Amino acid sequence: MSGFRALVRFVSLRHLFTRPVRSTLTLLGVAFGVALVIGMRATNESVLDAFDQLSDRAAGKADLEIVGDEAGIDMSLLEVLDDHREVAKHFAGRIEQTSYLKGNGGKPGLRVLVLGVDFFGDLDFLPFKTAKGPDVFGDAISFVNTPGAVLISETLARDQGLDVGSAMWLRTGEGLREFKVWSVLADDGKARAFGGQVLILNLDAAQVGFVRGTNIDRIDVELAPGLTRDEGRARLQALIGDKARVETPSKRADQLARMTSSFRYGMQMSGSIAVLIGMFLIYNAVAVSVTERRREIGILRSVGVSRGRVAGVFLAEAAVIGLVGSAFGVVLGRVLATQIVGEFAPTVSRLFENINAPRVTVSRNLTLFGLALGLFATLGAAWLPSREAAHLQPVETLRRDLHATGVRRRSMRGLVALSALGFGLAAALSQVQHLSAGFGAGILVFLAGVALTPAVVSLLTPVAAQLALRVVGPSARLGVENVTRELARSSISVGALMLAACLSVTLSSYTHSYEKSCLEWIEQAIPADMLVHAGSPTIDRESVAYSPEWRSWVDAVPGVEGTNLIRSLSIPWEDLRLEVLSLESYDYFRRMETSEYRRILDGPFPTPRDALVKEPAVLVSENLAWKKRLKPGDTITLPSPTGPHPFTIHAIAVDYSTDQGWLMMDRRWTLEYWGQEAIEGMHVYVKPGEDVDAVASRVRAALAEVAGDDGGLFVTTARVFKEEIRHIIRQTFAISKASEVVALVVAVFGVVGTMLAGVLARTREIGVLRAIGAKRHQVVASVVAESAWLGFCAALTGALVAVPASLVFVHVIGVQASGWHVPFHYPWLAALRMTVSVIALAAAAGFVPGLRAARLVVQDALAYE
Amino acid sequence: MSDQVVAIELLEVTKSYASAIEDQPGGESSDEAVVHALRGVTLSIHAGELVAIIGPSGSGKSTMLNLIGALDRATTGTVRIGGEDLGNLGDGALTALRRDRIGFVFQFFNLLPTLSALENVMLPSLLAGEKLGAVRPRAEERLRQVGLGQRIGHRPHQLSGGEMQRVAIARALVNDPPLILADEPTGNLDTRTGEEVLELLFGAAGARRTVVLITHDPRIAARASRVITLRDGQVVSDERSRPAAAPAPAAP
Ligand SMILES: Nc1ncnc2c1ncn2[C@@H]1O[C@H](COP(=O)(O)OP(=O)(O)OP(=O)(O)O)[C@@H](O)[C@H]1O
Ligand SMILES: [Mg+2]
Repeated sequence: MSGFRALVRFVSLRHLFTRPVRSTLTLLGVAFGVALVIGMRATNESVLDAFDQLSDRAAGKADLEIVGDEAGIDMSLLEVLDDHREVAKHFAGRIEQTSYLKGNGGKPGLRVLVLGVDFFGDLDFLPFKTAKGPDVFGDAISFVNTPGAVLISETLARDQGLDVGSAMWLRTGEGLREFKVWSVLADDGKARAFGGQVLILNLDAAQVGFVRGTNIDRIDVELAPGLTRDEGRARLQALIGDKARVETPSKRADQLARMTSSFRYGMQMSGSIAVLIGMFLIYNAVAVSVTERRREIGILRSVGVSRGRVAGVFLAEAAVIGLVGSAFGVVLGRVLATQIVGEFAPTVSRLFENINAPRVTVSRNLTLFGLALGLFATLGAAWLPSREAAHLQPVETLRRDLHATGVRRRSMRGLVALSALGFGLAAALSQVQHLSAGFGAGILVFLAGVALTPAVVSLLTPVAAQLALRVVGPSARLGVENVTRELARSSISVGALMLAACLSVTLSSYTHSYEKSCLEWIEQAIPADMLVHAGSPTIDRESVAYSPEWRSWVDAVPGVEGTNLIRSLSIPWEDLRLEVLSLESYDYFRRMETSEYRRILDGPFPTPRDALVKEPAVLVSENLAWKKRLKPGDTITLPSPTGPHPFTIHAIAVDYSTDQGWLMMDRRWTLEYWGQEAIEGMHVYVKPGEDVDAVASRVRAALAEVAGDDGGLFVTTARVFKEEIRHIIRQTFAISKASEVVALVVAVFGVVGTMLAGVLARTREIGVLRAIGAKRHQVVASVVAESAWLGFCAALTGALVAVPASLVFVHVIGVQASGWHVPFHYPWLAALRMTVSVIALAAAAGFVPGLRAARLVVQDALAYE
Repeated sequence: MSDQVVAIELLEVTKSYASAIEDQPGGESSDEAVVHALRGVTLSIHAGELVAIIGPSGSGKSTMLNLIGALDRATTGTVRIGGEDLGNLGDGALTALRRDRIGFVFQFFNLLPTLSALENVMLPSLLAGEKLGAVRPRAEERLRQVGLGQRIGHRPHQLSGGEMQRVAIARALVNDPPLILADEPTGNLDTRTGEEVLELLFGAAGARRTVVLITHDPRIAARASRVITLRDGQVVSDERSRPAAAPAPAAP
């Protein structure tokens, strides 16, 4: 044991203190690797947490929920439940609506969650406490009987500077309406849902305000004692028939999870690749440091230290470095995640309802994962070279290592074969119709690419070396050749950089392919010249519906040729949440007949007069058709407050508005089956020759008269709307862009590490170079050439491997996650940009080590061991 | 004697190192110590001389050679090479001086492992910006001179230790420098191979080319035209003798 302690003292600790640069490099390598993983994961987790917050809104302590579609469920169900207290011990009906609260005293307005609560029902479910003002939960009568009375959360009160008695303006189905704060709710329990931006109205007031008629959105149910959830669920469903669905609160969370699935998949994919890159970085840093100490291992062995003990010391050292580095990495990762999330929270909340700037937390599990990953990668990286070194005859390690330690031909062939196997397996997996198979294929392609990298490097280097010699000079050539010389070690950082580059191009390709299709689609999806919409048409997904009577006000505006009433319903169906677009199909298709309409993929173009009107028929989006194997002529049965109704599928159409599934039907059916008169928007057509912008401002003025100034109705010209959509489509992918940039930057740090280690290892050589007359700038040039060449190989391989990788993304993962088949486009420009920036970054990464090399005192360098 | 050109001149040269002692067992690495590697050396070497430097280990031989070779700067005193005061030259000028006027042969690790023998020999000229086509014949000629005409494409790890030293000598000679410096060039070689390498080095001296070499071997020193002995950083003896092997360029 004392021998071991001596070893630790003279070998490990001494190394740490006499070679501080090297030790720091290794430590930083581990830290960066872990930071990358933690950063990406924490970003994912906090964004997804924010999603979950939504599902968590106000379920209270209910065992079950009864939900309808967006049109809600009829209040008569409450009476049904009341007659069956042996099943539903307690229950309460509720309306849930996100709306817009006008900023108080010049503050910006914000989205709020409005709850309509039945204060005469069972209040047990409402875990609210009054913080200030009259206690409504004790005595509700006067609150319920005061029109415009509202309860707000403490957060809202604080943020908006509101107090008991304050007036506030809330958007309702009748435009902006004034409300008065009755009391303020304590900031706990469900008042914290939706980021604390919660506001409570009496149920009746909410029904009127949000044009619900006699419908409510959901009923929370607490089951009678002795009933299990499954039993209770079955009995309740039997009681209410098919007018609504009984769900466990977690089921709703599942649905939300599915709604955001393609987003999640993208995040997961980049997260897994981050793990790979992180492992590479760690492996690289540690393996380099151990390999460099082979001589030391040889000396130890020659003075009689056993193999096991040598390996033990090095592993112990690695464990310490792994733990310290990982701990540092966890902290760094948190900083990273905060940066990313801060940068992109606005985009996310824009796209997915209202996520209020997610808070970044690194969970205990994630911390443990990071530490374990760092430790594991570090030990693995230390184990192989130290074992190898310990097994060599001492004399072999003691020999001055003049050999180029390139990857041997045999292992090169093995790697190429492995890579081919990986690509082949990925191709096979792509055929399996399952998302996890798609993922597997994606990861395999990336790994196969990594395995291919050394071959690409060693194939191209001789040519590049000659070129470098001719074009730049002998120092550049030396640098270029150094890449293959230490291929075993440099290929790992080339591999990491390659992965980052490949990820970048692949995501670009994914973005590019979808963007192109989306932009084409949006041109066709909005045939009108102008939109009138409650809430911003691009931001608000669940907007406040308003009365169709407002149409007459718009129709009367000079220059308006006609309007089409738009309503969208969100309907739960099987495991999906379908988005149903209802409009006056006669008008819509009549206008479409004359244009070049390419939205129909399969089936006949709908004849305006009858196709969707005469009998219940719908257009179905491609992704829904793909997911559920639907064809024109098939029947799809949709639930409604009046029971399930079958619709014939008329044709399959292109639509990218939701990855869940989209349907288009005539307004007739939403009126008849769903009783939904209220509309969400209007398509407005302008008479030929009229100036659209001028008409738009006239429409705006006309609506202001009805709904009041800032009445919550947006009038947007189609041009502006499409512009905004384009912007959003580009932003959708911004978050993956961020992870891509982070991966790239971290990979470049890996290159800095490799280069510094390389410079250190070649100190004596640099001394010889300087002694025989290489100038400082020539030494710098050689190191920079080396790292630039490394970057070039990574970028080139990355761009190449991105072809199969993005094919898998677009044609396999994308289709499996969303059901959209979009044509694949290789992003030439992005690939070029990436190549140039990777080479530039890599060259820059070589600069610091290059300067260090140039600054070496020649004499010291020559004496260096 | 007086008409001879002075190639190297050292005037009251000292060199001291202030360094933390690192390798003490126990790890007390805090005490600073000043090592006086050279304590006032004055000497001049004429063009064409073949000088051997001897002395016990740690006496300052390598330190002195490094100063002569413009690899390091003296703490005090003046070092002149070809009449030029190295103290007045910047790093760029020192580098150019090494490249154009000095050839080095070290004990080991002379060659760049990624380059072939020929490329190693060509390197100094290429670094100076000469065209490949111009350098190549000269470098091949040098390799033939050291008897490696058949090995020009070999990489260092494919060569024996003696062959590597011969490549190093060919490289030292490629720019036809007036000064060759060698620090224990045979220290790593067996006696016979060492002989061969020495023949080459000795053969290089003459006309106006000066050769300075460090050795521990008194038999080698005996063949030099002049033997300088160092001890504790000072010149303790400086003897000119009749060279036995090399043609005497300038008989005293
Ligand atoms: N970089 C340095 N830092 C501190 N001390 C040094 C350094 N280089 C040399 N020395 C010291 O200077 C003295 C002279 O060293 P030098 O290398 O010149 O000796 P040497 O005569 O060449 O010995 P050897 O025959 O063993 O090669 C020694 O005491 C040595 O420890
Ligand atoms: Mg010495």
